[in-house]
Amino acid sequence: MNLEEAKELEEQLHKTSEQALAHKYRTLGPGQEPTLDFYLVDQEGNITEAVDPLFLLVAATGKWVDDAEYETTLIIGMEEMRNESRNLAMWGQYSKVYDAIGLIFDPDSKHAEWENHENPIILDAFGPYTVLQGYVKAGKYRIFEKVPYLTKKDTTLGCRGCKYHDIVSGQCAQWRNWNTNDAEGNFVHDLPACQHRVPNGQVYQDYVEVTTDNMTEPSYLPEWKPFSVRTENYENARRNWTDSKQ
Amino acid sequence: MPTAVNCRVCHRPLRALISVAQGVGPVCVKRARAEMATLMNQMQNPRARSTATFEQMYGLSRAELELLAERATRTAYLERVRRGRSERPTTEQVVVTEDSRTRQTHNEPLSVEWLTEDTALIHSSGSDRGYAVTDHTCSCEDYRYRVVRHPEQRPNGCRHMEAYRDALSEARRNRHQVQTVSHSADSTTDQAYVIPAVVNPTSQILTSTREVSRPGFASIDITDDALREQVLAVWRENRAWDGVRMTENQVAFDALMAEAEAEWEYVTDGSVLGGTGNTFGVELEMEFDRDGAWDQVARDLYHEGLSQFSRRQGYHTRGPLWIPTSDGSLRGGGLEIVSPVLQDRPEDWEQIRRVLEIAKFHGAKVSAKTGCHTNVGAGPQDSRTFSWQRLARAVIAHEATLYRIGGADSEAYRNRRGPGQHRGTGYANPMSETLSISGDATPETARRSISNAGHYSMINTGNSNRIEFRYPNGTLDERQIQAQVIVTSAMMHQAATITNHHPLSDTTPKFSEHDEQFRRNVIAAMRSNDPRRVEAEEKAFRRFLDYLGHPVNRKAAAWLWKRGSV
Repeated sequence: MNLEEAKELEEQLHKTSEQALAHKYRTLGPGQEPTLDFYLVDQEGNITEAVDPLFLLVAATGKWVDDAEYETTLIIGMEEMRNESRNLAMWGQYSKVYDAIGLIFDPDSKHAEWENHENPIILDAFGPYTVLQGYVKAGKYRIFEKVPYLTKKDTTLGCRGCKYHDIVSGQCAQWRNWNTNDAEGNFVHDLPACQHRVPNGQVYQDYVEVTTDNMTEPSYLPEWKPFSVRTENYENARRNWTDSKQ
Repeated sequence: MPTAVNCRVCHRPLRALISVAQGVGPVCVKRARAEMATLMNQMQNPRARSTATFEQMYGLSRAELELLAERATRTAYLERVRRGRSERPTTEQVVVTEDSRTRQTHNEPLSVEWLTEDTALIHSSGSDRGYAVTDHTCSCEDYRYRVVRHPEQRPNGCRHMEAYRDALSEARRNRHQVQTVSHSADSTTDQAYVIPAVVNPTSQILTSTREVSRPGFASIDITDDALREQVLAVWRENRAWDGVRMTENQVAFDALMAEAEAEWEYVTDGSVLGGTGNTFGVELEMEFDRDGAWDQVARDLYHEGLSQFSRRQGYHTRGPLWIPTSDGSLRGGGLEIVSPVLQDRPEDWEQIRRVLEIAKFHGAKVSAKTGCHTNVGAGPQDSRTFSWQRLARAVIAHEATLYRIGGADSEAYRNRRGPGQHRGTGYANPMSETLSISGDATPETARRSISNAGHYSMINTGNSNRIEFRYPNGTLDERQIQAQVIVTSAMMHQAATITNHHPLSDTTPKFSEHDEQFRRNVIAAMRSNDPRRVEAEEKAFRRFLDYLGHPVNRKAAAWLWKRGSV
């Protein structure tokens, strides 16, 4: 199979999979109204709706993170945030990208002129939750939700009563890396560091747009650390091509 | 009754008048035009990535380019036909189970369906996602973001690749069971892989074999796998392995070496090359004490009707008969007599004998400068890469043995002057130390890899329809030439016959198994009478005899090995 055939096959597979999962997320045609719990609008006005935050992330990144291991999802989130930071730099907007422990990208340069150098946009690649918020901060998407998720006010930790937690299987629809049940199927613990707990049954009357004002900062999570203490500096995090000797 | 006209590309009968006039069908003509357009584009944009050679780009006329395009189209057509024959491990869907770390589930079913020989569509029931997977790639995010970047952490790849391998094993197991059942039902099929009972090693070698097949390699399109396999079946029958392993059977080896002491019987009845109708040719290099004797040889060849030239010609002269040419590496230009394309026929063997007789009459002799390049038609080699790989592996594994065989001097041995000495590697360079040919390489790549030193490699595969074995020393003894032709021809046929499942596959170790390879530099560092060297040479030679597999081939190799040294 040559390269062209492989690409063609991949496109075909992509279409087939998207069709098979149309009940999970789908792009709406002109005049169609969203019906699922979440939807996002890209800069060209295209609307993609999703049944839950996980598939909202699939729609936002274009990557099949619903079938990827959690570490892969984190890597994808970091790359996406780094791309957003570069895009913002093209518009003179200064931003920094952090992961859970430190700075991973800083586009600042002695040649650059920023409109907001003293007040950079912080893009947090801590997890899927903050990545979705990062898209909103960067202005790539407008996100609307009927279930209080990115805008949730209930910051109680734990899985009991969460909309996305299946008591029987112990599985979380979002946080699939963990199982709350033991081998006999008994509930043994909450999901550690779950950002996604959404009180079951709580919905907005209408779609609410996620904005920088109403989004919830995940500071209530045990693992989440303020940016001021994320002091780990990754190699080349602060370098970019304008500073290179070339 | 009108004669049917077939398409020159796909051989389908043509009906439309315009197609008959063109000699090519409407579909093939479109493909040929597309190929031609690609070639023209490459010529007009020489800086673009091009597969065309310099000669193709600048030295060919439009008509020649059209022929080239037509040939490429035919090759592509045969490739499509071959792939259409379903080389997939199985056409059935195979379901295997793998654990899912994403969903924390055990034994999640994954269905595997092969799209091509090496690409499968894997459907994950847990996620409803489908992925294109090969043995070493996958289109999933885990592979793209983690396995590719840190393969050392995930040596087995992603879970889809593991599922692919599991399904492949299962498909092969199922196929093997099916084959076993069919073999037991029809015991006449696939005789080649059945290990025969050991025959009496001292019995008389029978050279009378099945009549030369028609058509043979000389008259078929060798890129057509089906036809080539038909001809190879003749080899498998006529030169089937007799079950004797020289590496294990001391009695048989001793008997063979005793037999090799006797004089070689020059057989001209068309039964020495296995009946596949493959072609061969020789380039006989010789020197003379007296200048001008080469023209006398040329004149006599001309008068005998063996050559169209009555004088020695310049190097690289071409023609349909024997060609006497000069060779700059020989004293005074010497004489290199290039044979026409020959086959295992009485008249062809008689020609060789007569040419040598004429040369010897005029004082020809061989020296440390002369070689006897033996060419064998590339018919047994496939248009993929497997048999090329096998041939390269065989040459590397038995490199030092081949040099010794090439160094044979039957005349000296006959006159009790001991075995001959190989003339050195100046014009027959050893194989590359790092040679390796991957399974998905094209035959062209394989050819280039084998002839690493270009024209002067010990095996020159630079010609499209023949392989030149350059290591044999020059000789004026037709018996020695026949033995060399038998060995080289057998090497080619065995490379096409032995597969990974063949019982003799261990005689051609992998490229990476350096310890198993008997290279020239290993023994060159030792004295000729060093017992370790004597032992190593015999051990390696016995394995080479196993590779050849048939008494006729083994006898020729033993006869030469006894009369040569490195």
